[in-house]
Amino acid sequence: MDKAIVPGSIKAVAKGGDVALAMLDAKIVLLCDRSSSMLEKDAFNRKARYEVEDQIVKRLQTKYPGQIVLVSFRDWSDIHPDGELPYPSGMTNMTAGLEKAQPLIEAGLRAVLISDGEPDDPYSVMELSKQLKGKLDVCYVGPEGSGGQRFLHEVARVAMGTFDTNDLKNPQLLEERITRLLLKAG
Amino acid sequence: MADSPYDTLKIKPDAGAEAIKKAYRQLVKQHHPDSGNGSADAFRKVQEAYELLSDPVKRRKYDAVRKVLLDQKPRDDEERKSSYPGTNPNYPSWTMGGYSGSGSIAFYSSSASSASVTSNVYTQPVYSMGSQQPIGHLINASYTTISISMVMSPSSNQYKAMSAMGLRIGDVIRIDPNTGMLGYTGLPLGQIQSSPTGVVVSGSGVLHFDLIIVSATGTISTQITDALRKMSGMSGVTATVSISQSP
Repeated sequence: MDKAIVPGSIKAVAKGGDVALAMLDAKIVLLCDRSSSMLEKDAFNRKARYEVEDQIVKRLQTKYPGQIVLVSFRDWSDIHPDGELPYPSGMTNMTAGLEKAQPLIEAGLRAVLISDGEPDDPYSVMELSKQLKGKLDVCYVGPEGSGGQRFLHEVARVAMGTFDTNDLKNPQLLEERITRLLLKAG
Repeated sequence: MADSPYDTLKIKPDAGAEAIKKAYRQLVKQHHPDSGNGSADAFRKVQEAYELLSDPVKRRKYDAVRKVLLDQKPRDDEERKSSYPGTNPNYPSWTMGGYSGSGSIAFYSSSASSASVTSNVYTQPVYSMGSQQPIGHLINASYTTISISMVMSPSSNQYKAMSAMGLRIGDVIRIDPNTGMLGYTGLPLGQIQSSPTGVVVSGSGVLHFDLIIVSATGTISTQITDALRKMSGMSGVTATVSISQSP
């Protein structure tokens, strides 16, 4: 069965054409954490973190068609031209996510990492972040004062990007934050 | 997949600059709107393809992005999602622990091929008593109790691993809240029990959980279910876990 294509996603904008070409015209790549911790229901309106993330990402794609490339990471990493993020599961293989996004970053897209915690392999994430040929902005989505928050703050620092904390209780703030980064990339 | 610039110019992705130029010249003549069989649309596509592929920087970027897409493995997320407890009738539904109370989960599998346990680093590693190797990783267990019962055949690796270490069926596993050490003192974490339907394990050893994650809010992460599913995929092992909130 064919999966639905989210309005404004890369695939929707490509209209059956070359998706890789459409990606080169995008502005930002959103690196979305889809590990199972994103199932935790502590976000806005007692929703799970991933549900709020989904809503924001879909709204932004509709608002800024063809501007956003989605990359998810959990046990592995995938790219999602159809604009639909996968159901969360497994671990936080942030390294795989960064590796997947690397060609896009090198192609000039601004990268924004959205995650709620520490990766499986913090060392390799830090190393990759240092070597990125572009900035990596980080939006930490979790409780204040966690080890994950400290780690991601450090990632943003070494990748010369900005850092922001949002507990997803007020998703509008995160949406505005990503919008600002997107417009800056433009 | 839709036509790439390579398809448009009818060349291979490893074509050199000369081959690109040659293909372009041939095709612009063929598709030129002034020629008898010309097409403005095809002509424009050829122009665009050449513009991209004749610029080494643009081509390199395009190739890199294309490679990401071509390397992507097909996934069946719906299938994966349906294997989650509660969403697949083959697995008993369960309630995640934390504030909602208790629940249980069971996995039954005899397949050995799907077993792959990886080592991970989380906030607080959990060690079995006397072992330097973490058997799981845990964040704040103070509000949650995990009870574990396992059925395993004597030939399973888990049984052998248990025999090699110091934990016994029926033991209450406790965790030292200060050091994260797992053993017989500290907060109760869970009890290893034998199952009436399986082999009573009289040996002892480490329960090789990939990870045990308990969040700061007291909710058990479904990572535990993933870990159990992996473990249950091993030959001769059935695992049952019940999770409840401690007073």
